[in-house]
Amino acid sequence: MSATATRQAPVGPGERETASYRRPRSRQRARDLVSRASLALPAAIIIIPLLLIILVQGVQLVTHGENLLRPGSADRFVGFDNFFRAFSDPTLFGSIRVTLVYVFVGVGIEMALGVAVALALHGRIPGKGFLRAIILMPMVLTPVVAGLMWRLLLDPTSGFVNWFLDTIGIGGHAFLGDPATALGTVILVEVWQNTPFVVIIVLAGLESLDPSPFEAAQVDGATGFKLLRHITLPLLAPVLSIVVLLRVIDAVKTFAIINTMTKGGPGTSTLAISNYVYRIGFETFDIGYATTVGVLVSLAVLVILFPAATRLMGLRIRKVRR
Amino acid sequence: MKTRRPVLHSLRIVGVYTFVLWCILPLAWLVSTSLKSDVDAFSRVPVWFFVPEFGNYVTAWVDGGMGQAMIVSASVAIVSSLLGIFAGLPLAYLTTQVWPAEAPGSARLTLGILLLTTVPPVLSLTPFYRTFFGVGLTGNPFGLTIIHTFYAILLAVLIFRSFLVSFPREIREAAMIDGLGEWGALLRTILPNVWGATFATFVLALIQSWNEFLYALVLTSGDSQTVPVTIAGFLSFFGTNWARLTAAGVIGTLPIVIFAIVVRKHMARGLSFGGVK
Repeated sequence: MSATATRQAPVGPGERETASYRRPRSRQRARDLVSRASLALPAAIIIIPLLLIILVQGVQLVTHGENLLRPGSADRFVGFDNFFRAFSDPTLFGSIRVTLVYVFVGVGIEMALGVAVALALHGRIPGKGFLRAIILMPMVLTPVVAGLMWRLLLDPTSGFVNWFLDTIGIGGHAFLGDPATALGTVILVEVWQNTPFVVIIVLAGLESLDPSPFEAAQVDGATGFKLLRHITLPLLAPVLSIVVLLRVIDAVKTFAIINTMTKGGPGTSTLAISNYVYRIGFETFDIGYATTVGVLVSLAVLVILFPAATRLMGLRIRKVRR
Repeated sequence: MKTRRPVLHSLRIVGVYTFVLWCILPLAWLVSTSLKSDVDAFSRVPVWFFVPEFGNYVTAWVDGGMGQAMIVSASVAIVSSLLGIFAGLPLAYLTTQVWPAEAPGSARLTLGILLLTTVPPVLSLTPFYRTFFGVGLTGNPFGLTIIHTFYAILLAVLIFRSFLVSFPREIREAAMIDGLGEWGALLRTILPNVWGATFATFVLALIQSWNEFLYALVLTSGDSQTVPVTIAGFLSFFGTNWARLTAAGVIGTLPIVIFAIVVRKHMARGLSFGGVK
């Protein structure tokens, strides 16, 4: 990163004009270069060594069959065997499927519910400031605590949810113990925790919208859902796409909720990618293979998400005008 | 949206309040369980009326190690957030003020930061663990602080960038002509204008570090365990003693939840990296 910084510094446009009419050109330039490099230095001190670790150790780990329980296994060179193993690993494909369902269903519900609540909150509502403070709470709650709290609520013998369902006559169910309902239940907790994020940002977006298109549309006789569909949502589109992006990036990384609620079980029915890598690396200590899975998954995530991220954050490398 | 139809308006209010109840009721149940006796907490039929007991809190704090965990979590979170701001602000300044934000070098650097933000942490989990274990940075809070600082820097760069990208570059140029160096210009002309962003970054980095679980689980142990790791450990350590577990959960999250509510005004813009102005 700092390599880019120092290389780019002298040719950065903008200072070309200002620097030229100052006295000794080369010395001035050298000083500029040093002071600019020093701006990137604190970040570089942390980031560059960590990137080097990922690179060097990553290459070492993916090409060796290291298992922490077997001394000497770190030296066992296996070439591409870890990759071949990954491509024929049904659990890996299962966990990719779990992650995809988790992200699509979870973020989908969060968006629909969050936008609806934000629209309802926008405008005059009794106790609005108080409501906004309450809504914040699930979002900042430690995910581990959120997971455990819902596990308590869903406990088959002493949980509130099952007692409630029994009482109203539907009948309880071991939601987390049944492979058919476990993933849905975990997604419910994801939705509980993260819908407030959508609400808060979409509400802030609504409040910052320019009122004049609304006034114009109202003069033209548009009301209710027409106004929503043709004015509000289109104006809100940039905010909505950033919210989706940030939620997807975050949901792909999910680990804590699943680890505390089901540890990926029953079987592998809720085993998301992060939980699978953790299980391989730190429960069976097969860290060579764990790294390989981590690399493959990260590449896939980057290929899918990074182009969207750069576009939405307004970051494209434009051709320089010369 | 202004609605003049009263039915729709009351439906809106009912909807909003239902959502708020859905947010708060599980938390209320968490707090109430933490104040129950072991027997009541395990009861098949919910116990609605009980004399609150604070014994669970004492047990969680002393025997469960929550006191120690809070100190570790607070130190890691505060140090990493401050370092993140210290390293992130100059980099954001470099990519928006020194170079114009659309210059290729600046865009490349920011893309790099965005790339690191997008990448799932499982990529670096095993390489970091192996290296840190080799040099004695596991089992104490130092390795974890380095990792959390890394993530705080990414957060800080993106937030500061979103604030500085529309900040007029002439102010820095004027400061330079007045003889200030880059750092002087940053501290005297930029920093006073971005206190809001600095505070937002601090809050979000603090919450991010406090709640982080994956690296904390792998890199800390025993006395160096952070709050989430300690709470998760209650599950196996005490069997499933819900009363103590929930008490630990309340202790561990109360500071951060209260903090977030107090400073919530600063958060919305930081949360979306400038997606909302």
